[in-house]
Amino acid sequence: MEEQLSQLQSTVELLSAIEMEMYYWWCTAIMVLIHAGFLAYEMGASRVKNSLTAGVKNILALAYLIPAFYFVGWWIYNAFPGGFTITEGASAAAPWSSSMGPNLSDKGTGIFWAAFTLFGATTASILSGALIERIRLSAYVILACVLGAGVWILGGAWGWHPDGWMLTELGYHDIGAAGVVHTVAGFFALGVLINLGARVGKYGPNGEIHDIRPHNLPMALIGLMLIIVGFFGFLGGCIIYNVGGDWTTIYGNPSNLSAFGFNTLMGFAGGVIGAYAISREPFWMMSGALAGIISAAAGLDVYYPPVAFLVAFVGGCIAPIGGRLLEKAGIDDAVGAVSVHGFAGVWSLIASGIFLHGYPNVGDLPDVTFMGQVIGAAVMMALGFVPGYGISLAMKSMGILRVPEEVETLGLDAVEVPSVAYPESSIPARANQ
Amino acid sequence: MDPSTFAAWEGASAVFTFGPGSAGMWLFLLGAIGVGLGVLGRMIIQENQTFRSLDPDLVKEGGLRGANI
Repeated sequence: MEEQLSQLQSTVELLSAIEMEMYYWWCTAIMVLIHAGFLAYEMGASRVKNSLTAGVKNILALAYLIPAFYFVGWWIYNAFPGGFTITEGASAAAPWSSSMGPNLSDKGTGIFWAAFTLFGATTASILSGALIERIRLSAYVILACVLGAGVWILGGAWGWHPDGWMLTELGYHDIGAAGVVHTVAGFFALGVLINLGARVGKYGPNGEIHDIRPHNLPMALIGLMLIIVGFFGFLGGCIIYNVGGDWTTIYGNPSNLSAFGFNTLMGFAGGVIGAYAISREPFWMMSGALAGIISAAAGLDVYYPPVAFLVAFVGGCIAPIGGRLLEKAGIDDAVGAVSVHGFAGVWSLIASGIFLHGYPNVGDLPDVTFMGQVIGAAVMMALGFVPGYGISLAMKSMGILRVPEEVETLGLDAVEVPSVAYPESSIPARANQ
Repeated sequence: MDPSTFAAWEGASAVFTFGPGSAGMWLFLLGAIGVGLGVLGRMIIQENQTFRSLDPDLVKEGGLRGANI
């Protein structure tokens, strides 16, 4: 009898471990839809002459980000939860470790690495849209790797890790990665945009703003909806499936997918309605959906759903307003990425500070507080902005950041991509010879 | 250089080619990094060359047609 019970227990543990692998496998697969979405979104948002380059940029970013995250990203996450000092045992996450490849006694590392890699790729895609139609392909690939395999995951180690200093010192709570993914990526993009400059024709000689319209708005909208689908994989990957135990957040507090179900959908709805109330533009409505989910993300595990809805509503309002303010300030963010991800991410942390103030963390960890969340937001903003600005400034000074003006006028597809987006149309977009 | 580091599946742990810490592992790890960096470097060179030698007819044609600006 005892032997049977022991066997049964082993079988249950094995099945649970396999289920854990399957869960994150499918979260990762669904997250790939984020990149399908960004691909359609950015190609649609570009003018015809730049549409293929926008697509190639997205495809290459994902391809480069994956090995870059393998080489350094996973190690950074495991090495720096304490700040800038390397944690003991981090070498287990280095690419020469026995866990960083097929290993029959390790069911966790590969599947978590895969999910985190897709989180990193999301940051690269957030950056991508803001820079379309004038950045060099090579410059973008470099910046995408720096952000997706370096900068954001350092933020992840600090604020999205069971031992991260922001949790242990501030009680930081950011369950849906509003800060560590969206704020960092949004403010990294802002830093790059300042050095990259506006597209030719965006501003007139007296500073008047010209609207540069997407060549295919319906495709952009479908892309945005695909990103929303992918978010379910992204947010699903934010909860911890504990083998032999109940769901927890990455901070160790109990949670479940029901909480995520309520508040992800309410976030979507609030964001769309908020953006509609402010702009009535379909582009901003779908962007508002993203902003809404991001706004609710930090407190996804505990918000009362109408709270999530109203937080998201405000986030949906912030997106178009923030986009217009940036435009007036001379920042040409082609898809509103800074506003949708950066500003909504900050709002998410502030809102969670308001509504989660006093919530306990597990064990001896400090409670969630308003000040802790605000400081956390400031850390994430700085962590994104400073390297984004600094590295792009260095690239600008070397002349490798932006395409020459005549290339921009001609269209990037003609010089970056040996193919034609719409060969039967009369619009010139010749292949590179 | 034998890519297999184990003779039987029973009790095997890390089963990837060459095995952890081996010369083969380092060769392919460094090779993968090198290929990634090499293609990126080639991308920069190719862009520089293309930007320097734009076809004047293409520039003219694009300009004349407005190129969607």
